[in-house]
Amino acid sequence: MKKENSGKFEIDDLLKQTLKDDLPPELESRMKKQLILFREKMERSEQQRRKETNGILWRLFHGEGLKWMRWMLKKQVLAPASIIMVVLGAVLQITGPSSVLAESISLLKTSVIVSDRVSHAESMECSMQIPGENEKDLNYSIQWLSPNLTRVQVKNQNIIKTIWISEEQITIADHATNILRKVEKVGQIDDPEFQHALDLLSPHALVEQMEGKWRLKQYVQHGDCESGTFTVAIPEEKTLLELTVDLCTFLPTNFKKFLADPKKESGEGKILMNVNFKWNTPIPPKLMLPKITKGSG
Amino acid sequence: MDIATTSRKYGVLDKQGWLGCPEEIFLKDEKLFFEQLIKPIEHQMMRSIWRIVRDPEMAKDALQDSLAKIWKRLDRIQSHPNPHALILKICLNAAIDSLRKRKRLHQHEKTEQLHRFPIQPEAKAYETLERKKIEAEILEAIKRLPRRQAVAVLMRLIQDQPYNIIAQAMECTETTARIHVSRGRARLRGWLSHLKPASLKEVSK
Repeated sequence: MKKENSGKFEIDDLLKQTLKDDLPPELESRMKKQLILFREKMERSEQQRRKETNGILWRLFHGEGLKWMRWMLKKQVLAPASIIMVVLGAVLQITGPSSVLAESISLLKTSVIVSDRVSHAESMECSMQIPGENEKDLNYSIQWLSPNLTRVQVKNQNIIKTIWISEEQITIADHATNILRKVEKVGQIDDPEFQHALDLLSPHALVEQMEGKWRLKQYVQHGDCESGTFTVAIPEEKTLLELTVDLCTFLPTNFKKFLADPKKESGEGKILMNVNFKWNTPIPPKLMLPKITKGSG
Repeated sequence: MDIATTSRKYGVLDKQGWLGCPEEIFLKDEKLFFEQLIKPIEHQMMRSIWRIVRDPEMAKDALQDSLAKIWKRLDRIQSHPNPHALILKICLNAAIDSLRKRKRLHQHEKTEQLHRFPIQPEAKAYETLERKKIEAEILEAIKRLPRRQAVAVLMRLIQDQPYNIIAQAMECTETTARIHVSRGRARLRGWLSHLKPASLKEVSK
């Protein structure tokens, strides 16, 4: 222990003796100059920063045309102004109706979230009714089985048709005639029954409608943040659409399309379409392969 | 507190009205920083750097690097429990960096260095040469030490800092600081044993 301590002292002494505190005076004065320059730089930099900040204030409050601002900030003016603002705030709070701006911000915010959620949806199932004459309603079952696979089935008294849309191909089956055919693009689907469902074939198609064709008119929130209903106008089709959204998931639960009727207060005329959504977890595509043995391809 | 009082406190208004920017108030903090944190230890800063680099140009560069680092870390230094120790550690780090950057001196540079010394009697010239040789070996050994060990040893031996201050500067526990110093010392002792053969070699057995 003693030896070790003596070793420590030896190395300490060696370092202290060799790395002596013998700063040459000339170097010391040069280093002091560096420190003075550093101090000046610190002060200059701070001055500049403050000048930039206060320059804005100066321009605001010293400009010829803005002398009134000085007057406005006097105590005699500010005190009554603040009282008036408090009173106005209280009145607005009591009277209740929220401002148009707040409403429009809320509408925009919700619509953006809905659009985002739909675009990221992987799986969905919805039933759609298109009212027809003589109780010949068309009933659709639309399923987004996975991001790249959609199945649509349409039924009424005379028709049963199914369409499978995958990345590779589109297969259309007519169960009444047992005819199976294939097309390459969605644009080549010419069956009139499927035209109503084209906007709901994929998340992308629905979002495209929402962002491109729909013109938001109104947003009403129901209950205590349970659901909200957007009223949307589609000018090209002269129709109105009511989209109800679940405010927990921000996904649509229902939408109804009406013929626009200017005579009515709500503007809603005859109902054209009613869709109920159910959002699922994805189903493995293998489980949903078409099983038609007869027919021509 | 009314608006005028509040504004005066923050240097925007005086009794007559708007004044613009009373710079002396805004600069107060920056001046305080220099006066309170750098001024009292400026000699220690300069001497610490010099004792490690032992070269006028390198010492100036190392001081400049230290000041640049201090400038960048103003907020951290101000909020540090021991700002002086942190500043001195920054200086040591800059000096060690400078030492590590230095390439091995060529023979002609060594000769040049020798010419800078005033003409001395033969015996004294030999002593000077011997001293420079030992100095170079010690600096080389410091260069080889791991960074934290080098900082801890130099804070202890060159700056004579107590362990608790070294620990604060290095942001570690006092025990860790002690371990760094102890290991650094042991390594230096091993590498430099030939310089004090009689005493050091005995210990290393």
